[in-house]
Amino acid sequence: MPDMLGTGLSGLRAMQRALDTTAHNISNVSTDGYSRQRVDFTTRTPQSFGGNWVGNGVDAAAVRRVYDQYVSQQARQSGGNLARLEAFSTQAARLDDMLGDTSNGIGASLQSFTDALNEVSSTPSSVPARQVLLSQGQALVERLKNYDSRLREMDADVNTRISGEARDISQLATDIAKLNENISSATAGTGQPPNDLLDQRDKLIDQLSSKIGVSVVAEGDSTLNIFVGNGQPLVLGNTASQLTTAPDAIDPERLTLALKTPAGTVDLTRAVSGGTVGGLVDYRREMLDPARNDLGRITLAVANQMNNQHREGMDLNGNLGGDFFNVGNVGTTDALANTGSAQLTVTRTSIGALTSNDYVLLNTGAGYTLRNKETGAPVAFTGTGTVADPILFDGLSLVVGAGSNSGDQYVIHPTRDVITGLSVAITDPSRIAAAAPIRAAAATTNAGTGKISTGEVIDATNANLLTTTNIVFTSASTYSVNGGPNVAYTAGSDINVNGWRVQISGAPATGDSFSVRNNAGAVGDNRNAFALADALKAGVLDNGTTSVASAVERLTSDVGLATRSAQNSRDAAQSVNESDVAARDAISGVNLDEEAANMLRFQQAYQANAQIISIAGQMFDTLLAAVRG
Amino acid sequence: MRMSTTGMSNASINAILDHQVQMAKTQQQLTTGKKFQTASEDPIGATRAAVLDRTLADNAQYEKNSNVIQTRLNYSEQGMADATAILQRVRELALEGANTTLGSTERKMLAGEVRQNAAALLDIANRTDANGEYLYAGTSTNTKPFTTGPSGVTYQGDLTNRQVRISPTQSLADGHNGADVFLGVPPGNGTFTTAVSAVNTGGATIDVGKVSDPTQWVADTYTIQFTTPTDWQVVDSATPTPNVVATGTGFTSGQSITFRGATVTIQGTPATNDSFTVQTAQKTDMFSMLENLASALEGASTTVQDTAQFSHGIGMAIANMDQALERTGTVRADIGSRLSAIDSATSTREDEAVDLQALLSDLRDVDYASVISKLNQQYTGLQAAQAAYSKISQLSLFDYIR
Repeated sequence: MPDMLGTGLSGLRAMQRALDTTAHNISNVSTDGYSRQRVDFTTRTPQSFGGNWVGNGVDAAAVRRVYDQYVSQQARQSGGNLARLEAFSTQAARLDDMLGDTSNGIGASLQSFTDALNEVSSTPSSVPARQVLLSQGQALVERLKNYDSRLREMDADVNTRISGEARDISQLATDIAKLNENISSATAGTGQPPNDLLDQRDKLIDQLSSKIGVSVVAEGDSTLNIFVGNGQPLVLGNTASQLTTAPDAIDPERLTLALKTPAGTVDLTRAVSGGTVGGLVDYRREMLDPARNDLGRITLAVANQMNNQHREGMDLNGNLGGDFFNVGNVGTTDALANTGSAQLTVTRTSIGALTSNDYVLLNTGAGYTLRNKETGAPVAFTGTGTVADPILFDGLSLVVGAGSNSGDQYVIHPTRDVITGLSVAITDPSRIAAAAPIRAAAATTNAGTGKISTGEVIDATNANLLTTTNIVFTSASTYSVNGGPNVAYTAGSDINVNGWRVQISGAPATGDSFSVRNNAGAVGDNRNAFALADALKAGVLDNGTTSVASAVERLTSDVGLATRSAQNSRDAAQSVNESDVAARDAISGVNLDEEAANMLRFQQAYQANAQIISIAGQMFDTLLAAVRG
Repeated sequence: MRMSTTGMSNASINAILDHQVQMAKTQQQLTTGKKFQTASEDPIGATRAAVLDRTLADNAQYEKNSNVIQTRLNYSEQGMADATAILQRVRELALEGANTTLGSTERKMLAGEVRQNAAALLDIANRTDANGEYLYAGTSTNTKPFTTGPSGVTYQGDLTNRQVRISPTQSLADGHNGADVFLGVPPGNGTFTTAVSAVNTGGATIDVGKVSDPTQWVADTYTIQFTTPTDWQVVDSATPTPNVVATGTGFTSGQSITFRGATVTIQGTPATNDSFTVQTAQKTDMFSMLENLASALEGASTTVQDTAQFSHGIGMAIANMDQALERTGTVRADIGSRLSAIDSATSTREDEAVDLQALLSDLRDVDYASVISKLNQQYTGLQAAQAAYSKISQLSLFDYIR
């Protein structure tokens, strides 16, 4: 017999379950990662009664979450991408803030320095003007050092953050492995999905994917396996691997991201692609390293231009000028696995040919190979690395000392350490070589119209540079240097003696004489200061096409462009992510109005079912009364 | 499509946050007056602005340089004006001394005045500029350029002229070294000098002469020899046997003698074996020219030979002063052309600065009208977003369940 009481009771229980679920939904309206849950109602198996199939009530078959795996996957991926670009653009903005400051930046310091140089050029004997030049040189050094140390801080910051993220990722992996285990046993026990545990695991995977790019593969019906990099397993079932940071094998000063596996650690630095870690690694490779190297290259150009010209000048005391700036040497590091003890000696041969790249030199046993550290592309070179035949490439000359073994690797940083060793080499304003070291003059008694150029130094190291030299015309068409043999005279052609060069033009008469002598005492001479100012303006970088000032401007605009494009991508990724999250929320999110309506619906159904029980009771009473009657 | 409650709330709040970010940017533009704060906001504009800033800073330096060189050139010009006045005064003294009625006392007084003027000229030559640097020492600006010694005035400076840049393409010397001004002045007529032999017995004298045909002139030392009081020959300096380059007979006082493109006039009566020399001009300095004049004025004036020497000496001195005045005139013209080059460079630079400033302002400065109207729009947008949020968040079905 159909049991009205039982049917009513089944409805009452099902509605009770539905109301419970509604309450659960409402209470979790603000829970991150929560998917709204629904009760699946099914009719019970009908019973045959008197040839008719009579319904038997309702069952709450399952409570399941409303969840679309594809949409959630989208939101997770775009979230990871957003986190990567967020990390990249936040760091980039710091770099941009630092370099883009045109009123206090390197460009401004360089301009002040050039101005001071020009001031010395127009008043070369003024000690205050010289003092200002030294102070501005010092200010430029300090500005560059300040930038360099901030870049180093940024580098250290990236390292710290990568270490921190590695710990977080390891913790998340452990938690996910634990949840895998719980979900697996919960599913096995009841056959029903443990909705809230699934949500929790999805939330953890979302968090993980915002830190590092992952691929998620379902195994069986309840366990998820997680892979990072090029398919290295981070979570397999209920076991998790640990992510850690370790010194780079080739360049030990640098931290890399490594996965600890039973077989040893695997370097993931190049393989990671998404999330915060991916953004940080990309930022370091694409922006921070080039900016540091570029800054070093610019500094080197300034120092080199100044030093070369300064050495060709004469100071207030009549001494030849030395270096104006000291700079740091080429940095080298030995790979951790090196078995040899060879020291590398690297010198810069041409500033114009220098690049912003770092290089790796490998001893193959049969010789050496050279590659770009970043791209791995082979770099062409000549020479064998001995003192007599150094390895020459990209403006560098490299000598490998004794004791290099096959398989040894060395990293060469041509410009990275330039600023570390940067300082102003002179402290005494009178040591600024504003004058040219030689003066050329025609004798005032010359009868001819011959004129001599002011003269330029071509080799400041010539021991006889300052020795007085007389050029006497033995006839209108020949001259003799210091009484030496006659040389045919061609108006305007170069006369190179003792490391200097002059030109005589016009028509000198027989017996006319010209002299080139030490310029000591010419405290008002500005020829070298003039040349210094010109040298700073000249194209020197990129094989003589780029001046220092434009290199600074290009660095600023490169960083600005990269930052802007990162911010644009971030904004785009943000709106993609917002719409993906909205799409997920549209499916899985709780809507309170909907829940209110459901609540009313289930409450009414509950009341109706209760009414059925009451009617069933009344019917029973009626029957009893009839019997009693 | 359904919306989740959290999603709706997030969307509204994101909209409000977006508006606030935009407003903060606009506000920053208004408060700083600049379109962009960092290079990333407008990489191309920021780079162009940096280039323009650099050009302007360079121009400011050229301006300073121009001022420095202008001051120095003005000092130098003043010195040359004073030197010109002195040389003119000396020339007048020479003319005055030429008057044969003057006695030796008056001449000595004139010589004294010439010496005073020579000292004044030396003072000018040793003048300094506003920074205490010698004006006419070349680049040895701390070395007193002209000193007096036993052999007269010697130059201690150098022959370099300091170049100062006044525009990206133009540099100018900020003065003339002392050698260019006071030294190397050709005496006499500029090509040759004449002299009356000290052993002459006649009373004839020679003028400074002139070059009548420059193409014929051959630099050498020539001697005009009178074999009789009316016959003469001109010989060159060849040794041992000088070549005769010209001869003449029937000489009378005031007659011109022309040889090898040079024309000289001999006044008075020469005696047999009297001679005069015509020699390629040896450049000398202004101070010795003045000293020569003073010596001529102080010379003895008792014999006819003395008178011949004296009148030749005065004639030479006047010619020398003309040469010296020509030199100071050339230097002053040079200074004038440099000063005008500075003026024209300055006006070019100022025009350029106006253009550059305008360009820079276009690139970097905020257009207040448009930014304020943008701010108003954003303000309205933010208000609307806030109003929408407060309306929507008040709606809940639970309010109707009693």
